[in-house]
Order: sequence, then C-alpha cells, then structure tokens
Amino acid sequence: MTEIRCYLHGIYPRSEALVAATRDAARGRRLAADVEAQRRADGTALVALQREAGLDYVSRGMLTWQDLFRPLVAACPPWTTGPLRRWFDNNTFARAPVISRVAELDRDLFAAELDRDLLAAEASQVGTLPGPYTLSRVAETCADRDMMIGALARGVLRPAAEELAARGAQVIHLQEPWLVAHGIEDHCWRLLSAAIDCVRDGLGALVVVHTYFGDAAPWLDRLRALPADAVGVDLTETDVTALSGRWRTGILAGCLDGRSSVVEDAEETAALARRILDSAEPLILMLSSSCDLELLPRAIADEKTRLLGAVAGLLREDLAC
Amino acid sequence: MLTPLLTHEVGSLAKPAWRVKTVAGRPLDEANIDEASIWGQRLSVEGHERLLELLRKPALAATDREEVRDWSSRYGLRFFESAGLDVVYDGEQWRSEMYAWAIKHAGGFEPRGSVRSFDDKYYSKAAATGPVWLKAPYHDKEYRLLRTAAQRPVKVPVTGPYTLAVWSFDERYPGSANLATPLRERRLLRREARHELVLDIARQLVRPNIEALLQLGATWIQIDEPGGSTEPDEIALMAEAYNACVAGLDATFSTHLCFSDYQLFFPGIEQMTGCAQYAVGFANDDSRELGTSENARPGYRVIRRFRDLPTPPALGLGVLDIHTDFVEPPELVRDRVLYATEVFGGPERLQIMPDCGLRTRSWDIAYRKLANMVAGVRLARVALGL
Repeated sequence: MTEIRCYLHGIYPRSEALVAATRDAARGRRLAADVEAQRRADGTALVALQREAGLDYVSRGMLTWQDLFRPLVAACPPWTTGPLRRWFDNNTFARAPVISRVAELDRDLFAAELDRDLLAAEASQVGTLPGPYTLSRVAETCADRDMMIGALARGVLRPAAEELAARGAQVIHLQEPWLVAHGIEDHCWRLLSAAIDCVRDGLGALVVVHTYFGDAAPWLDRLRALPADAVGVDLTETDVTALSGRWRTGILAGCLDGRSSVVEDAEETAALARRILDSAEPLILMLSSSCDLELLPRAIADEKTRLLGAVAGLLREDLAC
Repeated sequence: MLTPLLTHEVGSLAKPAWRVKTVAGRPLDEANIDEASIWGQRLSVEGHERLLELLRKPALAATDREEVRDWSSRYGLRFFESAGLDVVYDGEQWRSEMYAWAIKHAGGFEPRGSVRSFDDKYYSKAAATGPVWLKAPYHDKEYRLLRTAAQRPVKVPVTGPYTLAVWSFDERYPGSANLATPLRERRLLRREARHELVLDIARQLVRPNIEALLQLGATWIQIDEPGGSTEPDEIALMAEAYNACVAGLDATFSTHLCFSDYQLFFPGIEQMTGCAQYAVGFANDDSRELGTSENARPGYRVIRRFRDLPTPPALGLGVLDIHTDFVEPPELVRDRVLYATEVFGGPERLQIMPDCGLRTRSWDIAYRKLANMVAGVRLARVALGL
C-alpha cells in the first residue's frame, strides 16, 4: 500500500513583520537583534503551523537564505555571488554563484550558515539544496558544466546533505527546476544519475529530486529511473495523466500552485492525488507545493500549508477505508 | 530630443529619511534635518530653508506633509540636474514604488502581501480581481510641479502594462486552478487570461494615464517594462500592450528593459511601433576592467541585436550597475560608451544612463555614480572628437 507523506520544501515566505523589520534594519531604523528576534518568531510560528496542519516532516523554512545558493557560496570560499539572474519565469531574482573551480564544501562554514537558521533550537526535518544539474547550469563558470555535475555532488552537495542529516533532516530535497524548464541533453542523464547516487548512498535520509517550472512529461521515463527515493513533479506544468505507469521510485506531487494566490480546493486536490495513486501506484506519495512557497505572501502560503495537511488527511482516510 | 550621447536617468532614487518619516508621521531626528540642509545646499535647491522650517515643526498638518513631498520632488530634480544629466525627472519621489503606486490608483486590484524580489528586497504584490479602471491620473501632480521647476527637459517614467500584469496575481480566472483539468486546456486558459489582463491594463489604466500627462504638456514618456522578459513566449504580448498604450498619441515614447536575458526579446520587440529608444541595463553583466575590445565588454555583446532592429531606434546604454556601491570611474564609462559607439558605427543612436533606477543606493553613492557617468561621457566625446 502506498504511504502518504506531506511536507514543505524550499524557502518559505517571511512574515510581513519580518519583511518590515529587515527593511527597517537596512535603513538603520532597527537593530539587527530585532530582525533576529522576529525571524525566530517567524520560524517558531512556521513550525507550529506545520505541526497543527499535520505535516509529516517539519521544515524551518530557510528564513535566513536569500536564495537557494547563498549559504553554499558562503561555505565554498573560492565561490562568490554573481550578478542577479531572473529565477526562471518569475519576478524574483537570485545571485548566480560564480564558480571559478569546483571546491570542497567547508563544513564548518556551512554549519555556521545552518546554525543561523536553527536559532529556535528546532531541527529542520527537511533539508533543501540545489540539485547538481541545476547548480551546474545556473553557475557563472568557465568550467565544463557536464563535468561539474558529479564534482558538485561529491565535493559540495553530499557533504552539505550529511550536515543537514546530522542536524535532523529526514528528507534531502534536491531542487532541479532547470531540468524541465530548459531541458537536459541525453548524455547528462548518466552524470545526473551518478550524482544523485553519490548524494544518497548511505546518507540515512530520503532523497527527493524535484523538477518544477516545466513539464516533466517528456522526461518521466528517465526521471523515474533515477536512484532517488522520490521524484517530484510540478503538476501546474505537467498533466497528471503523464504520471501513469509503473514507478520504481516514490512520487512527490507538486499539487499546490506555489505561484498562484488562489488557494486550491481540498477535495479537488485530494481527487488529483487519488488519480496518481490509482494510475501510478508508487510506494510512497509525497504531497507538496509545485515550487517553494516563497513566491507567495506569507498569509497565503500559510493557507496552502494548512490545505496540504488537510489533503493528506483526506487521502489517508480513503486508504484506511 | 534623442541627441547623440545625451545623458538621462532611468527612474527611481532613494527617498530621503526626512521624506519617508514625515509622510509616515514618524518623528524626525536632527540628523534627518541636517541631511535636508546639507543636500539643499549641495544641490542649490532654491528656497530649501522653507523645507527646514517645515521639518522643525512639532506637528505637521496634511498640507505640510504634501509640501514635504513636493520638496522631495524638487530635491530629486536638482539631484539629477546637479549631477549634470541632460534629461531629468525627480527620482519618483512622489510615488510609493513603481508597481504599488500604479496599482493604488487602479480599480480592480486588491493587495495580497509582500513577495521577495531579490536578497532582502520585497515588493507588495496585488491580485487582479475584477475589471481594471483608472481611479485618477496618478502622475499629474508630480508632473505639474516638475514641468515648472525643471531647468532641463524632463522624461516621465511610467510603469508598463505587461509589468503591472506579470507582477500581479490574477484571480479573475481561478477556473484554471483545478490541476485535474488537462494541461493543454489550463495553458490555454492561462494564456487567454494573461492576454486579457495585460491589454485591459494597457487600455484602461496606462493609456488614459499617459493621455493625461500629454494634456499637461509631457513630451517624452518612458514606459518601463522590467518584467518584460519574465515569460519569453509573451514578448509579443508586451509589444502589443505597448502599442495599445501609445498608438496615435503624439510624443516621444521609449521603453526601459532591465535584468533579463535580452536575447529573449528578439524578434518579439520588433513589433513595438513608435518606440524611439530602448533603455537597457548592461553594466550589471559587464567587467570592471578598462578596455573597448569585445572581450573587455562582455556585458555589451548583445547590443548588436538592438542596433539591428528595423526601425531603427536609439539605444539607452546602461553604464552604471545600480546594485553595487562600486562607483564606476569615468574611464570605465568612457570605454563602455566607446565600445557601443564602435558597434553602432557612431554615437548618433546612443544615449547614456544608469542600468535602472538608483533607489537601492544612498544619495551619496548615486550622486558619485551619476557625476562619473557624465564625466565619462565627456571623455568619450573627446575621444570621438565631438
């Protein structure tokens, strides 16, 4: 029988109070300590919300991360932050990491970055990292991007995943939007597969490879052959019928639109998930948002978080019958 | 109007603390008043003693606060004039922010909350919830002041319809939210909804606002589309909306694009009619090393595409990176200009500007950057024998 899990991944939006505190601090109107206090309050509220909603793994929401790459850049000293780059087709920008050479992650520096995010002494059971393929493509570099896929996994992502797991992460969520937004060349699949294996082998945490901001249908045969515990699909961009067939991995269904302020209907979303259960029969079905909820205001993200737990509850009721 | 190597600003400038606090009803401290005094003298803002009087009042009436906004506008205007720019505006001192200000004056939108733009910068995002309409022209007040106060020609920046749409949620068609609906059908619904929203904003909001400006005597309108390349398959829609804003109107119209993969704009922007200038940021992607060779100017390689546009329009060449406190030396500006001149086969179709609005920089940094930009253009003129 398929197990149902649900969790939040990636960066969670900051509260209006934290946005205001951060803005005030930047303008010298408030102390940095006030910002940290508000961040702790945001983090505590987020953890409470997830517990109340019944999510299976609790995320700290990466509230200190300015984008998906910044803490890794800080922990790989030869790397620097580069120019602003549009984050796919969104009105949000990330600073591309400038990778002069693939470095080894400095675990102490990375730990310090993580500890900034753990001020409330609450472990994050979800650790989100850029996937090796996306990181190799987003980077500003003169290096061979294909060769970087494995090197990044070995030198940076695996040690980062170990640090996250050591701090309580039960899921390592690798974000791979590039793969479906821009595609992947055939020869890269072997490299990606080896890179995922490198991150996951003996890690002691589930590894989910999540594609989003694009239609996964053309790549699903290759995606479900990856050595991951689950493959994530953005259902706002992928037809649910494309998921039918036999799955060797679990499925993460990105069934809540992380880019729309319209809050989905719980029954409709549960019905969508049931179709996946019926047509794909994965060992594990994880429910989450199509992409990070960071692209929504906090209040709407909170509503969607509650909905996520409700949808999982409806599915479990079904399975129990 | 678009003379060779003419210098201009692009849009916003940081709001002084005395303006922000006053409008928000917060108390000022002595440093804020000192700042108003120092910049008033530095920029030779005539009559700025009146502002200092206002700021020293124990309590400000609503009319006083309006007057402070006017002063902020005058300071912004003199800021650019004093830095030596040929065409100026006020750094959008009257506006809250380029998106929020327009949406505040539009019917059919509701606020939803803050969303990150980049780093720790957020913007207030609204949702389109009904028919779009213009509550009242929203740049009239500032323009009335500036047309009389300006000592140099002015260009009015206006947020473009595509950007207003793509920076908003669209709740007018939640029917596409059911993910069980076939993807092809959902995509079609999304596309139709976006098309309708963008053109509604163009026709019912931006165009009447522009018409009001033209009636007041505005002669150069810059339609800002920083969101222009958000969805590459919608460039033609951005162009269609631009045309809907300006068709049949008599003025100089230009557009501003920034922080994008500019290759995505081609060939879509060829459909924009009557666009006299594309003001585009490039310095963000360029090297800080001197040099006028192809390799020395990686941020500017794409300018050929703008050169080869059929009309052919002018190019507003962004030469200042607005996201860093690095103050570009005049020689670096010069080399960027000379490289572009070489690519364009002459300076006739080039104007010089910062990559984008300078609102994220302090006034001190912004001023030094702009002054160096003007100095750099002077060096380029000498090098070109102009």
